[in-house]
Amino acid sequence: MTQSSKKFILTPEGLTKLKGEYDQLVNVARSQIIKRIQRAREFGDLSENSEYDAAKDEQSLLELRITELEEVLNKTQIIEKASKSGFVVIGSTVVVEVDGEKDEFMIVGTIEANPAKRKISNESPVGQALLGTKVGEVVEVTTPIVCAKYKILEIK
Amino acid sequence: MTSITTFKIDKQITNTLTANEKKILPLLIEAAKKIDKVFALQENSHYDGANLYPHDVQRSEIEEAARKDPRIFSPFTVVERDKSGKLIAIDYHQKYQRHLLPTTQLLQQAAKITQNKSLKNYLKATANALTNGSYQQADIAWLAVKNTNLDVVIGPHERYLDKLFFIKRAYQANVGIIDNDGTKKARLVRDILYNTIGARPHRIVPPSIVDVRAERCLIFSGFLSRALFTRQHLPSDTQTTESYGSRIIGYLSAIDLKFQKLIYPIFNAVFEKSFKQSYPKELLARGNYFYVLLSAIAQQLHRYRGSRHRLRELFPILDEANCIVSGIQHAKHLVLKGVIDQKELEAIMINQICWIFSEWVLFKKTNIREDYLKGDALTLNFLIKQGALQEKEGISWPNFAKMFFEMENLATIFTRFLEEGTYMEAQEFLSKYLSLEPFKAFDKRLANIKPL
Repeated sequence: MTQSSKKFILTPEGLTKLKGEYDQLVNVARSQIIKRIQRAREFGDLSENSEYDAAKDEQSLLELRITELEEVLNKTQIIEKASKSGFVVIGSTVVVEVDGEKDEFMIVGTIEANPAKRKISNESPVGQALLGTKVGEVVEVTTPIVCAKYKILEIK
Repeated sequence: MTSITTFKIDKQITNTLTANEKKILPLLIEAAKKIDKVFALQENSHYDGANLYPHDVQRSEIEEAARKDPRIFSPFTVVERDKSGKLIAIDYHQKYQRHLLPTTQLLQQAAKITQNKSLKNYLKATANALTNGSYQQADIAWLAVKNTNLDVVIGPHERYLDKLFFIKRAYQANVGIIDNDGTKKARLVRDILYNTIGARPHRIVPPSIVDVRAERCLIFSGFLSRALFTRQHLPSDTQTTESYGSRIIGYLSAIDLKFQKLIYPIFNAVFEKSFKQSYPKELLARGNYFYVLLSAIAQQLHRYRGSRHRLRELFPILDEANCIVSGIQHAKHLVLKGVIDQKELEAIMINQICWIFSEWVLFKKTNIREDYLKGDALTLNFLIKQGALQEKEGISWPNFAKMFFEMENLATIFTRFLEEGTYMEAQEFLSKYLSLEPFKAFDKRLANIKPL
């Protein structure tokens, strides 16, 4: 699949969150930053105006994020809530045992991934290895340097 | 020799301070500077007990005296002989009273000016602690400081100066500006590791998740300047941590300084030319940041009740060795969960090797980080003996998979020592693997690296 035709996999919750962020950026943040730039211009000499520079930098980042979100929202593939099929799919929450420790996370599309909030990308080594597995299975996840055995304890 | 390090800081960063914070900043910096004189009274690199114990004393004599007077083993007393030769304990705040006074007064002035209530409480508590020894109250107040861009820590904290018993604390000071972006990134890694690494029975657990803070530094003084730490965990006593919490501070300015002046030059000195080409400086700088962060989190994750008491002066060696190898071990979860890629993990491991050599370079200037050097020597010897690192006119190609495998083994060994190992067991392991000899093979290549 080429980059331009690539679909962004999202859960319904993830889509709502991104739409909310997009609306906030376009309808609120954009006009706020324009006002900040106008105010900074009034301080005078733009070459020595740190407030103006900071506001312009922020505007560039904001527009970049808006463009990113537009691309994602235009190419979204929604994953409905995982049904109890018995297999790990995108959208499944999985309880595993790894290196003697219990861990729990949801497998999501890359755009929604946030490992700190227990959301792991389907393209990560663990995400790739666990898709299609069922309860009781042990999967060895390896990269050229690290390796770990994951035992599937539960699929939610 | 003075012990003050100042850092250059972008105007953009100081601009983030409020007008009120800008007003107290010079007072805090001045207060920090004054701590240098107090540390100078404690420091003495010719004796294992520095100036914290009489220079002629034997360990057994101190242990005997401590049985009768527990204050001998207080972290906040200096042990001296009275006129009859008997060992007595004198409180820090009395012993160093005259030299602590200028810092106390500056903190009191800053406390009057600041409009931040929690910072005001902390500055007052610190001034009180320097006057009457109530250091725990200052630590508790520090943990409660909120809604400020400034961070200031002044007091006796680290134990590394006491190479006899690893008990007495050395005075230090730092003033920094909190980096919100760096703090946010560090907390993400913390959350992933705390979600992944499970509970252990003897672990020291703060009442809430350990706080992590990244900051740009303005000044280090006293012990912190001499040791030039890139990270710290405070408070450093178990009881305060378990009851009130714990915080990891990442000193971004010290991390950058060490990378530019020490770690990157070491990388260029000890690796083979074609190997080096695969690792651009920017990738290594990122690896360096992760390396420090992972070590800091691993150290916090592997704090166990009783380990300091059980392992005594061996504790800091094993603690340092463990936080490095366990940090790398925990990086596995970052790779598997797609947070860092293969090349970044390699960059972290290359930084580990460079940091090990950096301790050898720094040792030529000061022995204050000797425990760190010994901890790193354990790892280096183990890796060389297991064939994961090969020395031939400088390290050519580390075998990353083998290195990682052996570090997982080492992490299991070190963690067990810290959790429940006896002094004798630890001593036996150290006698097998603790040697500074392997460093000497690299001396020629490291000759031009300045120890900062």
